[in-house]
Amino acid sequence: MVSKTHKDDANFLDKIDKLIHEPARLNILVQLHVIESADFLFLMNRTGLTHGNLSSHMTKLEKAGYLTVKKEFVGRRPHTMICITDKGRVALQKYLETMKHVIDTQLSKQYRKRSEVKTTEDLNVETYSDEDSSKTMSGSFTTNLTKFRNTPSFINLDPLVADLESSHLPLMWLIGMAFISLEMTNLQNQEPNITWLRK
Amino acid sequence: MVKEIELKKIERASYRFTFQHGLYDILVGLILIGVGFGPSLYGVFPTPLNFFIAETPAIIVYLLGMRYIINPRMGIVRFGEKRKADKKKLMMIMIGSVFITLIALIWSMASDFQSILFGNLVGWLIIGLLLATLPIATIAYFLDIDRMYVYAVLVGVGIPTIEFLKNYMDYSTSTIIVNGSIGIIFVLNGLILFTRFMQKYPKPEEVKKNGK
Repeated sequence: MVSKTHKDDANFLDKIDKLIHEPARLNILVQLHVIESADFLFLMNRTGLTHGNLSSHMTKLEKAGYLTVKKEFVGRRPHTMICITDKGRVALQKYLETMKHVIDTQLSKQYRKRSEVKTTEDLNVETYSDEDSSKTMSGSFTTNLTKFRNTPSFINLDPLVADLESSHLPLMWLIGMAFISLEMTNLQNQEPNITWLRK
Repeated sequence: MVKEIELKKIERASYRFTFQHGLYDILVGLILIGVGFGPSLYGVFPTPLNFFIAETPAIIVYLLGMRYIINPRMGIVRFGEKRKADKKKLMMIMIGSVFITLIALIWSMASDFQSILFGNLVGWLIIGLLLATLPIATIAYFLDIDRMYVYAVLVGVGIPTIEFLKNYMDYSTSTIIVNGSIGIIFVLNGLILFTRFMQKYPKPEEVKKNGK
């Protein structure tokens, strides 16, 4: 005769999304969850999977509607970018909550003694959002940054941010600072010619 | 399996992965070396040709390295809204620091300012901290690159060191020694990171050839 606890365990384990439960697919979804989008090569590097392995897992996830593949241009080159869908985010969140619930409530004290795992406090299973990540900074600095964050809408910095992402702007800044420092060292060895700056 | 999932750490690891190739360190190091050799070129080439000659190798190495070595191995990623917001703030700070440095350049042409602030090592240390350490440390904070804090301190301390060495040798030699040494440290660190990156992340075509 099956005990009630064992029967509850079996029912609850059925609720775990088996598509996500596979370690490689879980890894792929977690990597996509924390970023906006990435290409195939980046995912391969971050997950450590081979080309064929990653491709087959991605096909399954795409069929389930958990991720989407977009073809777009980066600079002048076409690229295939992969991103997680809203359905995928919800499914991943649900999976993590299910696993947390299984460990917290379905394991009886008797099982906990036998198992090395204690509670989810030890497992650090946590949700993630852009707002939560700001808590990693010190409190007062975060408060000041929040005020600074609300730039007026008429200042459109998106094209310049795109330049920053393509790493041209930091290079230009470095060049500018190097040029200015060189000119400063030169001027310190010369007599100033601009007389209107003197007394 | 669930034990290993810490989403914030994973996001941070993915973000830091994009700076682990070492090419930025090599770029900053070569630029510093160029700044070190720049004063020596003033007597040989007219301004701004001396600047281009001093800094061109750094720019060429960086652009070619990113185009042909790093991007084919690293892939492309776009991060979330928080990282984008940090980059916008960083851009405003970078623009601001250029303006402040330009103002300092114009002020340095006035003799009174030079004698007051540049007269002693403490003044030069303040200049170094304000114009070098502070902007680079701010960049390090927003880009979340820990080693850049060390770079910020080294570059800032280098400025009063040059002034100190001027008592024992001429200006060109002191800038070569100080900026060259700091630049070499950055380049060597960058080369170590670059080598590790190349070993860990070969091109996909190379993987297929070697059957890995």
